[in-house]
Amino acid sequence: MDIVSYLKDHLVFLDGGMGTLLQKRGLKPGELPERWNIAHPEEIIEIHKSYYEAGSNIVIANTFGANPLKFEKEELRSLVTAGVENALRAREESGGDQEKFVGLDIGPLGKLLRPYGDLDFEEAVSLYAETIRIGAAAGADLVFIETMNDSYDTKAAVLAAKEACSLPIFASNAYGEDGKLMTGASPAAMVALLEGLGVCALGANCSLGPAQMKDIVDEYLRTASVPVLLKPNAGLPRSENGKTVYDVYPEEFSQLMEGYVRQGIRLAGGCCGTTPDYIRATVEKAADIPPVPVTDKGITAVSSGTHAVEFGASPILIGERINPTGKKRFKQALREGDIDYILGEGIRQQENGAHVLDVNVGIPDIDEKTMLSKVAYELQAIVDLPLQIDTTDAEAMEAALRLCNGKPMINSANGKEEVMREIFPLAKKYGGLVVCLTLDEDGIPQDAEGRVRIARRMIETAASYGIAKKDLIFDPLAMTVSADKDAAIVTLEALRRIRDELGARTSLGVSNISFGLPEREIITASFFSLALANGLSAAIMNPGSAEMMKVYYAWRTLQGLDDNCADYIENIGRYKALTAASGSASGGSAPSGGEASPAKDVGAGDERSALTDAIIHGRAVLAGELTEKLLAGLSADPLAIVNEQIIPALDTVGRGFEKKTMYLPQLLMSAEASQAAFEQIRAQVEKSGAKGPSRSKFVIATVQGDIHDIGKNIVKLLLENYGFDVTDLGKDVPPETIVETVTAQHAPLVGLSALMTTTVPAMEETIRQLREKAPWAKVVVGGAVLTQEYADSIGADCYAKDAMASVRYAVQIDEQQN
Amino acid sequence: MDDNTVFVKRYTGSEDSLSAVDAGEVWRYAGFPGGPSGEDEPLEALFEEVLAQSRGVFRYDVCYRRFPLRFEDGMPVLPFAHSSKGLARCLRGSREAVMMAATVGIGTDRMIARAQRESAARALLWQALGAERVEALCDTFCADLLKESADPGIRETPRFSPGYGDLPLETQKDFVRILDCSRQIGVSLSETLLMTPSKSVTAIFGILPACEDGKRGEVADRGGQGCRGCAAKDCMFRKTPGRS
Repeated sequence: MDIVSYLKDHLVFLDGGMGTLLQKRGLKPGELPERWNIAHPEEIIEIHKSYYEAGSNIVIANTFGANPLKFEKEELRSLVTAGVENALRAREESGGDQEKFVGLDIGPLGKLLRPYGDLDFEEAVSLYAETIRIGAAAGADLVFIETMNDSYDTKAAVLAAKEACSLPIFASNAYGEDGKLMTGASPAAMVALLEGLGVCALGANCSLGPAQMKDIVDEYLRTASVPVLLKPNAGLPRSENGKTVYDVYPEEFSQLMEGYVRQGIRLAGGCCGTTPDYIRATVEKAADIPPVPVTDKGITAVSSGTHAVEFGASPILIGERINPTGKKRFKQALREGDIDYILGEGIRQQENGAHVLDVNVGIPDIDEKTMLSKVAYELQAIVDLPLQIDTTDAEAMEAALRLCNGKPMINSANGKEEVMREIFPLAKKYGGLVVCLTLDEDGIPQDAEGRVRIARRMIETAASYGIAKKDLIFDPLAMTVSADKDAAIVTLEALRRIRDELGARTSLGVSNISFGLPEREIITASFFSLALANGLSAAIMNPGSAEMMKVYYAWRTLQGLDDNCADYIENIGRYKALTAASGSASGGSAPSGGEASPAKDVGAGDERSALTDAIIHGRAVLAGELTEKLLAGLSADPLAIVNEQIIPALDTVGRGFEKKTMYLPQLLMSAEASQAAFEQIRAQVEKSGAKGPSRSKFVIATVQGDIHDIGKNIVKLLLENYGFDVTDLGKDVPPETIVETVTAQHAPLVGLSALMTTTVPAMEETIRQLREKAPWAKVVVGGAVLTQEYADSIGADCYAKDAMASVRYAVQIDEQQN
Repeated sequence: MDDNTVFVKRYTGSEDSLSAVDAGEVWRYAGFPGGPSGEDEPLEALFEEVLAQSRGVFRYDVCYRRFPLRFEDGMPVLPFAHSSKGLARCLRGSREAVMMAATVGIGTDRMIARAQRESAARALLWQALGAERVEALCDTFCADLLKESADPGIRETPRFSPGYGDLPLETQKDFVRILDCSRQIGVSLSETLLMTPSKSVTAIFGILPACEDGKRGEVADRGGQGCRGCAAKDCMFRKTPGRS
């Protein structure tokens, strides 16, 4: 019988610890256990046999750490093959008449993925795939991915297994005492991700003893619709007379495991510190317990790298602002690759209360596939919300789904056969909640009946791809009420019927309803309220809209979803003063304190003007307001404001910094305040068509291998303040990219940053290539480990000991050249 | 004695388990010894915002190995190869040594990355706060380890880390491997030996037997992490009062 069929009606017992047993048999500190597969196969086989004889159904091969980062290709091949063969042999030779299977053990690569670490997601997928291919060829019955402490890494391993073999996949994560993975994912987030990817069983192992795993088990059993596995440690290790002992013994361990099996755990084993005795005791106590049936929990959920968002009684808000439609500034940002602007929309929406972020970057003249992936990737580095990938380009969709950390929403499919053929296989492979628009080849049905019929057909078609109804969310399309007076009524009826007749979730882009009408928000918010009353589960909306947010909080309160009205009371004050909201509160960092002070007389002739003062003291909002007022004056000259008020402020602060009467945080606050002033100047200059003040082009980067870029960002900010046209290539930038950019722009100045001695060689190489291909460029270097001598030895033109030193040098070069 | 087991200690971050944020230290890490006063309300307000935002972001995890120490030809015999005289000086007289790795978690990196997109000053403060927290974690851990010991007179030497003095940064690889850092507390190394999460520390320190004459002066004079022993006299982070 194969493991999947066996698992349907049986409990499955897993094996226990390996490392501790190997140490007892003489594994030396620092010795890689996988080498024993060939050096001491008899010991490994003995251990596997003892687990089968204790009653384990699945024994996993000694391949936990066998990956291409640790072993050369040939050795990897022989160690993994031998590992699986040892387990196969143990199965053959062992006593016990239970069903027996052999798992290929896959542990984490031990490196963190980008953006926080330096391992690329696709690289991780191919590294895992290498081991998995060998193990599958050697005859393993299943792939057992375990002890994963990062959701993104887990996804890489599972995806690798899906692509490298056709074996059943089991996936298990290691949680901390706070019930989260090292990188923050909750059990519900992992269930959403892994069920989406289609694993056979999922659960938790390692890190904790059985008693400490109670909450984790509860959460798994509440959310999972596939069998749940559990492999706790034998408690926590402590030192006793110089020996390590674990504080939970087989009797207590097995009692707790028995309880978990009664509660619904379907696969039980042990991890660190457990031995065949632990497994035997567990089998003895639990073997005769009738397995708790695995039921479909019917939960519709998406997830990020940290948490799951469940679609249920409480409405889900999907932020719609990352979308160029009708937004000139956004389109410009897309064309210029101004990712900060786009990410800013993401941060703002999270702060305004969005639960999910829609990501749409579709404009005709850009490479949508690349841009969509880039924005999705960068967003999930800074915002921990699930994403809704929004594109009509199937290739772009697949690329973005692949690199999503978590289970995303897929926006969208519809009733057209061709579209379903394109989207459903993607949803099946990568997991995702598919937004299903109720339209088909014949367009959008006029009546609710037609829309419900399409929804019904889509449920059937999705099922044929193995996609459950809970992973579909229907958008019955809000049409403009000014064009069709019954538009809202039809949509509301469709919502109600999809909920009642099909038992499915719904989502709506609500704002379309009010198109063409004055005071749109009044109509939109009223419609939102009605839609919620008719069963709407989620809205694609602007979380910066006060009217919408008022409805949201009021609705939750009136529906009994807000205990003690706490959320309402806490949040509603934010909307009290606002009428129509813009959704784009002032950017920048300025704290709101102290901005009430009115800009009195701000004549440019004052000895030290209010604007200069505001910049020196780091008051960004005030600086922006003052500049705006100055610009509104009759004889306002933007250049004069810059030269007479902003630059003097920057100089004062810069000199203060150099004399150590002012410090870095103050320097930055001033720089940001002057940025706020510059933004006003820039807007004015653009309006008038004149050219603003500018200095040379300056290309800046943190060198290859270095992933810390705060220093570089500080220098960039100051350079921009001084009028340089800065191209920021980011961090971990290969020499070739820097050289290409400098050459293409014929930039006279290059700034390179490196934090560590280990990355200075990359800096040196970059300078070497620049000398060859861009001999005109002056190179200024900085960073924690650099000194004047060090900078000289790698051939830099200038060593900048701090941010101001970079600016001074750049100004000097600029003035020499122009 | 030592059987290679790595132990893990986790702190909740609540006040009874870890010292509260030392604002002075945060400002020092931010390059602002003494911190703001008078006309810096915007900066103070930003600091308060960052503090409020940081609630629940940090995790405090330490993994460590404790082992008996012996010396051969004046050099400590350690679970990794080295020829560092500085480390030997730091550990001399110790009967035991502790290798440790500490981290305040990846959430900090997410918040730093996010702050970078918003404001350089905010990012700087986040960065400084993370540094202060991980140092506070190391201090708390060391103090707790001594408290657990039966012998009340013992003291610890300063912590010594890969990359200090003549101990090559390459030694990071040994620390991360020996302490099983990736699995135990989620700390891993990049190709260029940067640690992730970025606010992490690896270190080794010795445990000195109780002094017979009760003098404790010797502990400080060992190089290691103390600013006094460091050659970088012009360092902006230097902990010397009255630096101007």
